[in-house]
Amino acid sequence: MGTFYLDERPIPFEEGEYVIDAARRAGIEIPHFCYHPALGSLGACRLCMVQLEPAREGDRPRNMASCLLKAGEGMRVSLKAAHAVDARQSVIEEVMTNHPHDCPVCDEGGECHLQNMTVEVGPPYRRYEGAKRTFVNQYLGPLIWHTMDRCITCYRCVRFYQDHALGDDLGAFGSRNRVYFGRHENGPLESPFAGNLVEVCPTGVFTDRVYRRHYSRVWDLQTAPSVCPHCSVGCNTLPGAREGSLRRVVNRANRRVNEWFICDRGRYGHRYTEVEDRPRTARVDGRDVSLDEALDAAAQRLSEAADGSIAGLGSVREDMEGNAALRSLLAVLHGWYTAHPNPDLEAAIAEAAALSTQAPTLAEIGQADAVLVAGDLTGHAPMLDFAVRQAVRVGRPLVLLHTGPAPLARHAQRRRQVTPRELLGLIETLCATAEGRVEDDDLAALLEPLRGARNRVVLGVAETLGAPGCRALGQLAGALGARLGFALPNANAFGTALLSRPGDSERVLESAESGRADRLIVLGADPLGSGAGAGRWAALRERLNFLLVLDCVRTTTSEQADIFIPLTAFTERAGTFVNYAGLAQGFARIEEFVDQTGRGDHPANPFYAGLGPVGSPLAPHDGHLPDAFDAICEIGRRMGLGRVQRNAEILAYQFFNEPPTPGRTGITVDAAGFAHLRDSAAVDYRPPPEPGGGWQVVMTTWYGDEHLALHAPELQSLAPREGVRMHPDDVAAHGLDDAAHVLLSGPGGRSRLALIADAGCPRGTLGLSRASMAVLGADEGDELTWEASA
Amino acid sequence: MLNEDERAHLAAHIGHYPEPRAGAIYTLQFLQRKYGHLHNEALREASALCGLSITQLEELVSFYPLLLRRPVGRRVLRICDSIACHMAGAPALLDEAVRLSGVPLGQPSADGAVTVLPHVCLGLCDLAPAALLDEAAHGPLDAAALAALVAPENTGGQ
Ligand code: SF4
Ligand code: SF4
Ligand code: FES
Ligand code: FES
Repeated sequence: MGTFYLDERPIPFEEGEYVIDAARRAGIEIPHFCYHPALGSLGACRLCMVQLEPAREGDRPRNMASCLLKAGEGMRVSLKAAHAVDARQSVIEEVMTNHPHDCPVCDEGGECHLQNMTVEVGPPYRRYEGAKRTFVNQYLGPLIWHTMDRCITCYRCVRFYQDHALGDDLGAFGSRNRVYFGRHENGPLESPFAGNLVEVCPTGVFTDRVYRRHYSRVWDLQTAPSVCPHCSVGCNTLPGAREGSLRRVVNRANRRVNEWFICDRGRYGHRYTEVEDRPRTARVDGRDVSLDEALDAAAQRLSEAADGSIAGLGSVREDMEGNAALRSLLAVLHGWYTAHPNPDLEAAIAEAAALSTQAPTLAEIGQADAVLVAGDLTGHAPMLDFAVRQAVRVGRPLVLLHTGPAPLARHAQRRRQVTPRELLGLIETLCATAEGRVEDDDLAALLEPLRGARNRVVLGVAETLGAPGCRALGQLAGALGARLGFALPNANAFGTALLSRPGDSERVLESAESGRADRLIVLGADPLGSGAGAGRWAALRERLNFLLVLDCVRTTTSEQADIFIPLTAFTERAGTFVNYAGLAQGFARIEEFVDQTGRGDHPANPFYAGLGPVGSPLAPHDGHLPDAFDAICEIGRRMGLGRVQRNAEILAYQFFNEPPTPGRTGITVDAAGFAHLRDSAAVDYRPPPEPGGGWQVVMTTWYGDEHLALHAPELQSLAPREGVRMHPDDVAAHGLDDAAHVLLSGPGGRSRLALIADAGCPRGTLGLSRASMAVLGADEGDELTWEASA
Repeated sequence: MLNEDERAHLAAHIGHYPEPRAGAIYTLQFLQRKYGHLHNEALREASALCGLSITQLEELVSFYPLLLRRPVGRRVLRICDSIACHMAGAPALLDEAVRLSGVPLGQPSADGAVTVLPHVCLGLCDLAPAALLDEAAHGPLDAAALAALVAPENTGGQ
């Protein structure tokens, strides 16, 4: 700690800190372009120039780049000195000589760092009259728009893309005043984190191509602090809406979760709220009806049910409030509640959540000395993968254990790929090796990079590990003395584990299979379509006398509902998700749409002030849509069950000191909550089935694969080709080739898929997407039969 | 295509470095000597050997003017256009070179004998305006000296 002086103002600094960082902490933003709090200093732009006053008699004042000037005790620097002002102005003048001055048609308008700096620093007018340098723009895929002429050569884009995200298909080409930032040829950017270019580029070179299709000036957007609904990380976001539609999502910093970045699933997945086929109308027996009528009909048919004959399936992608309401309704009706269509997945989530008492934050993962990952983090929780890349980027070792293809494999110092059936044994033997109970040179070598590291982190993917795998990984983490965290399915799996009791999922299935429960309420899930365990649920549809579905997207299950109630999407309501670390975070409703009088974050434009409000409530398309909590409590009320809402409010926040407030950092689950999870996890699991020598399923996923994001067309246009993936040697051994098709049979059904040779799948396995697995009724590690098909 | 010996030679060279990508420049120079310029296939070979993506190799190739991405004539004349040479008349020399070769800068002359390229400071500022014909330094150049340099007798053209 020390003090230096910026224009006579004392500024405290930490040892080794740069002047620009210390000033920033003290609330002074020194002008800059290439410096970025997350990307650090580079010294490329020279805009951050300050005058360093001489420390000794006879020395002369010097201009220094404050992003590369380490603060020193008693040091005196000046932003205001004439020489420093001149230097900064000449930087602006130089970068603006080639700037196209196309601000009126630039999507960066209103949040352009270049424009802000130019106005703040000056000079205000242009002297240069020569020709400007121009470039050809590139097609960079469906998510990002490229306008190279606006570039100011700050290198933030490539530093983010290559150094932080470890991508290798965006680069800086050429030299001198013709440096070009792009790909070696036209084509979609490959990184799952490419969308952050939109935010790191200080000018309008990289802009949001999806936002562009339905563009609004940013000051006309109304925003509210939100939480990404697309995976268990729970990144904090700032969605912006206008005139009844959600236009874009950007990052919102929260040190306990994501600080500067989000993944492309989070940035572009929100388009499910705007797609044509989003259900906005209630339906009873195939007839479109008003919401009121549907709620009445639902109350009516549930009232007719015999005591205990109703089962409810909640949702890992719905908030705490909606799930608590459903559980509360079913409790009053003596019915069964679960949030998990698949008993094995329920067990895996409970086990993983119970083991996550010390789950590391993204920042802690990035600062780990060594990381061990079990599973494909990228496809299940992209920002956990990003956090691991931050450790890799500074040379920390990554050890990867995986079954299916995993993008992190490229960055692993050691890795072992096995079939799903071998994974549990591998983890157990690794644990025994780490504890010295077994001597295995091969496995010791696999663990070698973790030795000597002080601050170790172990991360697993609950969905593919299964409960026994999660438990074994917990033991391995214990043996290694490592912090442990899990990627869980969807945004609120941890929360639903808090609302569940062990065996709920099996009880719901059994009650329906035995005919005791013949009425089913489904909230935000697709058990008849893409939900795990599809085989058993699909068989049940016949036996159900009544199916009530509440959802914000169209699914196979919603299409078969007797009564369907459309729900608000995340920005249209408030709620709570509990992330992978047990952190409950509130998300806010975007209250109403900004009208032309500018009731957004921007001062009113006086020209329009006389016109009066033209705004309308959010999601006005077919009248008001309810959220799950309101809809279910209302059904309860119409059944004469006043307690439903009160009980639900208690249930939703029972393991937190208070309901979390949107925009605040979040509230961690309390000791009672973890005790509840430990009890849930204490049950014995169904042991993995004995190997039958057949072909094992491995899940192949990708960063856009999530139930809500699957409805986002631009993101999904990047999805890998659908098919069954097999190791090239297996393909060749069966005399097949890439043009072949394969007929697969599983407990849930049959499916004919294109054959894709993929060295990312181990021999003897069939790599399938989550959607194909659901059709076949197969989980990771299940065995399937297949034959070549014409 | 690289033959077995060449591949082994490059692999051995790359193996000397703690990271394979450190061998990229050597590999690119080697491939350029073999093929005359770095075509897409050459970049793919370099990528497989050094573990850099095509984009990352393109970053290097586009930065270093001694690495060539397009076909050139049998001889390459690099005329410096950096500050000392610029002030000593490089722009006029470059115009003259275009006239003499009959093709724009960077293109092989019609007889395939020579390609003229502008180049950053050659380190021959004392000879400004300076040029490099293949690996031989020339300067100070005037129009007559330039004409002699690119004359068919000198470049082997017609
Ligand atoms: S494209 Fe944007 S981020 Fe990249 S160097 Fe140019 S101005 Fe900076
Ligand atoms: S990592 Fe998960 S929570 Fe974060 S932005 Fe991506 S999908 Fe959303
Ligand atoms: S911000 Fe310091 S040189 Fe660019
Ligand atoms: S400036 Fe021409 S050789 Fe240096």
